[in-house]
Amino acid sequence: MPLSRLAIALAAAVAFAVPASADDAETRALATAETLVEGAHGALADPGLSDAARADRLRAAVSSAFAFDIWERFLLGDRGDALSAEQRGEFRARLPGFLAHLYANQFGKGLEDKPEIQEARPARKDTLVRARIPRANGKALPVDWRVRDFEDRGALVIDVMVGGISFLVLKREEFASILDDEGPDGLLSFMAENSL
Amino acid sequence: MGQEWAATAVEAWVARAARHPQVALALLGALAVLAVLALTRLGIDTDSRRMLAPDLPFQTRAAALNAAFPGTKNQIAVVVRSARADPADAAVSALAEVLSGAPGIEAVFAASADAYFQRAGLLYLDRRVLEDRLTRLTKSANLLAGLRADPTLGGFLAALGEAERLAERADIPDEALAGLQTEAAAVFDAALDARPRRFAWASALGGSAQVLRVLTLSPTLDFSRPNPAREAMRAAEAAIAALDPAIAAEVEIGLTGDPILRAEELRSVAATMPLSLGLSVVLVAAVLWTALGSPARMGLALGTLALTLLLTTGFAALAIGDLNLVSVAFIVLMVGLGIDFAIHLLLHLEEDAQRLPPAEALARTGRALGPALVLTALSTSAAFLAFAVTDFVGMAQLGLIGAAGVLIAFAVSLTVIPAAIGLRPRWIGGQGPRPAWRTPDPPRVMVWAALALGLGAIPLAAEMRFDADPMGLRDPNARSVQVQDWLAQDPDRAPLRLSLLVGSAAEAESEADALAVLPEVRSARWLGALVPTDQAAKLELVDIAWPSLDFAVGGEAVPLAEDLPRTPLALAEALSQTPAAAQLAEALRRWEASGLPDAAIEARLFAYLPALVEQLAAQREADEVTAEDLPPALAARYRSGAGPDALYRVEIVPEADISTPAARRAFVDAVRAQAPAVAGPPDQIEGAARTVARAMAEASLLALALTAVFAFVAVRSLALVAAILVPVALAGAVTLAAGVALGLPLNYANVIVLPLLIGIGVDTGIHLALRTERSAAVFATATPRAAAASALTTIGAFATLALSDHRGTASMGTLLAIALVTAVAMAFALTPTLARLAKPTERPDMSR
Repeated sequence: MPLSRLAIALAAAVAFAVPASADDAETRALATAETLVEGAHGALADPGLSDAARADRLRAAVSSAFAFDIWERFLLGDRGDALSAEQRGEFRARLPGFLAHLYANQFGKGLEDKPEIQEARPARKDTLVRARIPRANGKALPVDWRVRDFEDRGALVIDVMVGGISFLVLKREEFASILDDEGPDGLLSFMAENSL
Repeated sequence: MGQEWAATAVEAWVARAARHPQVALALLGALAVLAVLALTRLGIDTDSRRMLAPDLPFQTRAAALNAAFPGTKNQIAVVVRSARADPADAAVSALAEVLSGAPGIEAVFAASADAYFQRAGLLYLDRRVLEDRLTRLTKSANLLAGLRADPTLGGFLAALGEAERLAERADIPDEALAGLQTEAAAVFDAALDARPRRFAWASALGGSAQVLRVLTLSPTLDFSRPNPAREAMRAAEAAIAALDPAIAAEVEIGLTGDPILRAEELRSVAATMPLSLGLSVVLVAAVLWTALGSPARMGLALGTLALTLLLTTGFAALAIGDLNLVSVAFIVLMVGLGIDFAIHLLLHLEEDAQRLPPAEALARTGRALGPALVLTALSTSAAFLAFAVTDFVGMAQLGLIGAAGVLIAFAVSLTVIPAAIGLRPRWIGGQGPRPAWRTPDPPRVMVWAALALGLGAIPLAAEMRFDADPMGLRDPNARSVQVQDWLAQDPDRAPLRLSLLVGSAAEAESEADALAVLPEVRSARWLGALVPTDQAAKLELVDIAWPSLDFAVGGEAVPLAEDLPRTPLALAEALSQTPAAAQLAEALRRWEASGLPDAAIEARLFAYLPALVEQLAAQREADEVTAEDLPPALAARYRSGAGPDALYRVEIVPEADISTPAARRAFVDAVRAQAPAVAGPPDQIEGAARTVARAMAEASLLALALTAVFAFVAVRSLALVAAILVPVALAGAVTLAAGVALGLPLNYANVIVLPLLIGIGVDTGIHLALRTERSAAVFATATPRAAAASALTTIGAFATLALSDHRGTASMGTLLAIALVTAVAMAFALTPTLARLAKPTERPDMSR
């Protein structure tokens, strides 16, 4: 446990300490992905944790690695104007838990082996970090973390992709449908039901 | 006094021609040779813009527009229409490749095949549409990657099976896969039935419906040919014919644009000419045989007409040079009027020859008919000169040629016929004595009926308009016209648009903003408006989708499900029960049962996949664009020149369909109220309609006034002048009213009817009025027969044009028949009665 916290600290230090360049951005993106995977795997694979503690740790790992403002802006799009300030605040509050739940749902099975970070490659102004997440059937699922390098906040995840399919785009479509059909309260209820 | 002078002069002239026939004919022969030599100077200018005075305001505006943007008017549009985007894009790409650098083609532009639009095309979509498109593509990324890696039937079935499985797992509605499944079912069905159909990936994934693509060709124009763009047209037709049959079977391709429309217009005019000509020969022969009674006399009348036409054409060559589409119709005019003198002369001679030897009959006919012939020649010629002073250049040329032609016809008839009779005296007689017509004068009821009809027609006649839209002349079934309609059905591609020239981008933007808010305006485009709007938000959407696009183009597919179906039956069993899935399952079972090899379907399934991958590869590179990034061919349509001298064009697209005159006028008036300097085809059409309508009304009134003056000077009787002109005016009203009732507006082709009606009507009126003045029973004389024969000859010669597919030509044939029948009928019904209102004079009866 102290070792993984040390790794996170080291990775974060590396991410903030070096000047910007493509290679550096990839290095920081790799570090962010590594941190996320470490934290998330630690939370999901530790049999000694209670459900509440597991949720807390996973939410913390997601919170430290995800750029929620990007997720919020893109998930809501124009339809975000339909949310009141209060609803918007609730949305923000629920987003980390929702994404943590999404993470657990998609990658929380077959965790006997630790996910493996493989490579980083540029994706326009961002970096795609390829990870192989072991599955229950013994095979590995290739996952791409899309990481953006923010000047003030370091490298943060703005999308997760499997087989080229963007979670951000899928969830945006899903949120739009809920907002159109059920309004902001329906969306907030949906997030509450699917949140850690 | 005037009539006596004319009688003496004509009597002396015909006597001299009969006494010295060789000399007379030799002189005319020499003139004919000169006319033939002059024909080398004759040309035809098919540019309808030059039919109106160039200094008219709308003409100067159009000239300025054409000078600044010369390329837009003469471009050829290759229009591709298809139910699916993939074959349409494949056709455009193939044609663009073949036609780039082809002989006769200077430039090729197709937005769908242009690198700029390949890259930035997504930015031109509405934001919601873009979002939907990108979401679909994102969800299809793994499917596309799998298909790229395994372009086999098994790979295709597995990809669909996986999509089905994932949709089920994610609780995505079954309809989400309906596009792919429906398309797949259609392709399998088509393969089984040996029908052409390839899997349209872009349409199935993008959800696009019927598409219209346009490939624009800038042809090299050779105006020495009737079809200046012939080489480009042939190259385009050859390229279309050589298109991959599998692509061609799924698209409709047509050529349109000004050069093509004109070429097909000429073709449609010529198409029914043999039939019209054959019928005309039969009808004219029948009329002349009935009227003149012998082949020799028919030949004499036709020979006189031919010589008249030749000399008049020679005059046109020397006086005008290049005829236009209206003035070239002088041939119609001269057939109608040229044969008139000959028939009147021959029938009068025949009448006198029944009682007198040829020489005396010639002298008597010359004396009796002379005043009428001189008066008809002078008054008709003066009437035509009235048309020569209008801004309607086409009609002005026609008026000048007609004025000279009538005098030529008069001189030729009075020379050739006496000379021929001098050589062959037996030609003077026809069929011998003929029965007199049933009644000496028309019954009163006919007079009142004619008056009622003529006066009653005036209100409807007042509604006649001039349609200056060249599309109104063309054969609606011509391919180029139909293709033009394809474009017109898409409001954003409607061909009739206005343009405003301004001196700066800022001015263009300001004018466009002001015009765009008008209810009659759909959009006002300028160079800056071609740059996509809301780029930041759209680029963010593209940016988010970028990894998905990148994965679809180059990623390695991820197996997201196991035990996927790789045979048709296996997939058929795995599919859900939605209508689209059931349709696909049925098609797959039929395919399995057919035993056809996989290769037979694989070619169809994957033919368009590389194009989609290529398109996605380009779209993934979308980035912010400015006006400087626009393709030069596109920018050149909106900006002419560079630097401070650059001119900017604001293109104004109508909200409504402006193919109807009322809608067009409303659009032009509304835009002009905001921007008085606006120019372009709708402005020209409206301006031309107003100018021509005014010119024709003024010229017709002036023609009738001049005729009245000549007639009054000659006959010194208001009643006789009325007897000549009232029937002409009423016939004009009836003809115009009939045109309105039949939906035949005046146009550049049929407007010839008005001067012809005046010419034939005045001629008939003069002959009948003067004969009535001297004869108790005018219908027992040869004059009405001659008038009827003259009109029927013209009708027989040109009414057959009503059979033409070309609407302008057909309307000319119809209106011409109506006009001439009405003119002669009105004269027969009214002129004798009105002429008898004249006080008895002491003039000698020179007719008997």
